[in-house]
Amino acid sequence: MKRCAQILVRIYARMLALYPRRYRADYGEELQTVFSLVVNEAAQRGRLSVIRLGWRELRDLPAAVIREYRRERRKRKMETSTSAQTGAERSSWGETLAGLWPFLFLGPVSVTMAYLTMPAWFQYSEEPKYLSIVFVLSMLVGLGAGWAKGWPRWSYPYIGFAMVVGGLAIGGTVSSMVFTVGPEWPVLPQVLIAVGVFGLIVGILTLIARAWRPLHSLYRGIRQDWTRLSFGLFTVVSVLFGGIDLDEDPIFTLNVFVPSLILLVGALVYLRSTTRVQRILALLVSLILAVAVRVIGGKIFYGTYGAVIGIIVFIPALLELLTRPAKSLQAG
Amino acid sequence: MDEKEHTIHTQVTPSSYLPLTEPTFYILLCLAPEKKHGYAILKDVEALSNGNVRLSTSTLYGALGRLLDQGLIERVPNDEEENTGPGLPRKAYILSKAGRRVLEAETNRMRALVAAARLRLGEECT
Repeated sequence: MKRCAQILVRIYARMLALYPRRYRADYGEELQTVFSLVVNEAAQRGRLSVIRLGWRELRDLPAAVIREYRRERRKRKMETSTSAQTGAERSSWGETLAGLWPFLFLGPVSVTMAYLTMPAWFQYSEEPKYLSIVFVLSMLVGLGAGWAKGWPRWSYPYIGFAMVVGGLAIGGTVSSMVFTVGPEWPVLPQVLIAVGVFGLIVGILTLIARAWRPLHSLYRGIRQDWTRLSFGLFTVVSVLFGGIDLDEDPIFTLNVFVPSLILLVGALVYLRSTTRVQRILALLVSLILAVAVRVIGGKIFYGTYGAVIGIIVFIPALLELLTRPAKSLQAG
Repeated sequence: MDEKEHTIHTQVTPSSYLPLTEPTFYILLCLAPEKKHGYAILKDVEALSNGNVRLSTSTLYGALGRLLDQGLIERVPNDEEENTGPGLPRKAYILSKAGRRVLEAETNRMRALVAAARLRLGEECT
């Protein structure tokens, strides 16, 4: 009978593997100890008691395991939403990779492919068309997944890219209407129009997100942490700074590649940071460095672009700094 | 359980937990006088229910986990001399203030039920 009890205890120990890992860590040892005590007691009463006990445990186990997995999922959801509310959540590596993909493609991948597919030295080539199709599809998948998951932090570059596409469409129409009527406009009106167009897009999107129920989580996410919007707009920087200019030649490829790499690292640090100050610094430092490399490389006008885009990108982050007390910033 | 979570649970009214299931009621009841480890709870529940409620370990720990999440019990080290030993669990459970309020509310609810039943059924019920 003692041997029978030992076998039952061993089987029970194996069956504990069915429970969620965190539950096993919390209660595994305790469950095993209590079960051993119960089995030993039943063994003293006789074979029938042991069989009854075994049957009772076997009968209740499937429901208990399912219940614990459901509880685990609920707990994880609560933990995620709590840390998201305080802004202290750190993106997992999977989420980080998903969030980095737009930067990776618009920067290093795009530059490398353009360089590799260059038909001849000193002759510029765009990346192959199929890559653009893959990229657009991946953007749509990213937007869909972001929507389904309630717009987590990693999904904002996809929103940013959608804003870039929308911005280029609206901005292109506006500029063609405005700039073709008279002589070439000075820089300031152009800058004001650019800021105005982006402000308009952000404003319209915010209103839509506030009014339309499926986008409520996006609105809430931005209200809880304005740096998310800055991160979304940061994609614009990657599009403008990482992409190869049409007048670029191979000598400057490194000059394009390095800023795009800097922006990628900035996005990586942003996604892995847990405090708002770290996040804002990650975006700010990488933008300044990327602009500096372009300017040092001879593209002086990137300094003006950088200033304008910097203002657009960091308005939400500034709002975050102004609306949160210093203590909560430190707490994340 | 951290203090914040506990505060949230204690702000919930006891009646929102009612009615309790039979095993839950017995678990809270057997923790009312003192802290107990898992095995002692199993035995006490069986004794309190005259052998009518025999919990499996998975049901017991499922209920304990839920009660902990709700803040109705607390998990403490099992450090009392008579409760410690090589083959005994190292953790024990104790009824929290919120748990005691829920237990009292459930007892009052059942008392009212019994009183109503007695009123209608008269002597048959006593």
